[in-house]
Amino acid sequence: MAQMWGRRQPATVREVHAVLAEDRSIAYTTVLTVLDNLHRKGFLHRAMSGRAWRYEPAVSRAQHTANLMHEALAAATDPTGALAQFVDRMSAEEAAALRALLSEPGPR
Amino acid sequence: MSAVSCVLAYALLVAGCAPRPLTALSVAGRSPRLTIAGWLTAAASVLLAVIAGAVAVAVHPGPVAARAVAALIVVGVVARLGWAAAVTVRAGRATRRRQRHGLRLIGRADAALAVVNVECAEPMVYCLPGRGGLVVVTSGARAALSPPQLAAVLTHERSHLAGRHHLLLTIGYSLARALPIRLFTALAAGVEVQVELRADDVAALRHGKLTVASAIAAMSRRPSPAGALGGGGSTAFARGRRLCATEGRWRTVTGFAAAAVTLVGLATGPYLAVILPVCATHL
Repeated sequence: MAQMWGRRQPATVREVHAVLAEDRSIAYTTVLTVLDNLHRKGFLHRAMSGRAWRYEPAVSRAQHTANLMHEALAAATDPTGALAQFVDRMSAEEAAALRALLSEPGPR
Repeated sequence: MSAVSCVLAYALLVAGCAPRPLTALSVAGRSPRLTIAGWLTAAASVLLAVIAGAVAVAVHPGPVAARAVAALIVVGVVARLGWAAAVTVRAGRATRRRQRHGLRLIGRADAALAVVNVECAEPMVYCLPGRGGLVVVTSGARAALSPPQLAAVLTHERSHLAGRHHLLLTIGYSLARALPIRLFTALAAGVEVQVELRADDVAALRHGKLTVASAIAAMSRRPSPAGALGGGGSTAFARGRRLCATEGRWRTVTGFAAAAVTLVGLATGPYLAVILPVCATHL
């Protein structure tokens, strides 16, 4: 996905494989399978161009991150126990009160 | 039949009366593990009493109508619990799977620490329990926390993973979904909070109470939009205040003793409810 987000234009499997193969030995079929999976999962759009598919990201990296974090925030309050967030919000008064408590000298 | 009536009366008594002292224990926040055990024992106690009583009626020779109703109750309760658990577990797993797949695309994993770093201005730290537990940390959180605070937060999240707290939460939510009586809904909310207190305690043991409290303060930097949450104050503030409080040894011991007594009472309740009337008829 990092590859796909870094591109400005849709790319074919061959183009993506060419770049990835510079860093490590990776089979063309592997790239083909992964791109196809990402498409099936909704992370990539594709359009036929000539005889090959051209892939591009469905959402920007920033949007994807935002969606994911938003889901995590929502999951913290829904009744399935899917994940545990460190802390929820507190009001401005509470935040001030807690800071006051923390700055008080005293035995631990 | 009087033993059965006693057992069912016990179930009603506990379901009706247990929430109040258990909630008081939860609010006091003295021994999270004992409090959680108290909640779960109360729920198990009630369910055991109802099912055992109904099974006894269904099995014992007597009027057919009563036996049929009792059998239906047993099947109904078990089926309802099973359904609620299945729904809760499935929804939780689906969310976690979506998160894992999504994180794999954008997160930078630190395999040695089982931490996934995400570029996001919002300070968030959360854990994904289950197989291959993960802790997710945003860049916003790294910016908001000092190194000791970050270490404390990671310890807190890891204690959720190590303690399998998500299982406790799943039990609570399943019970509340199956039968939204006061005992079960209060249990779900209570266990949710106690699990956070337990994780705070684990982090405090290792990093110091004030470090954890200051981490809570640092992460809550952006206040909630409409003032205090739910009128009762946020959990975050209660947790911070609890960590800042110093309490005498005596209060800790009495809190511990109260929780222990409650636990023992609830665990042995159904048996006493059966044994006492049997003894009474024999005297």
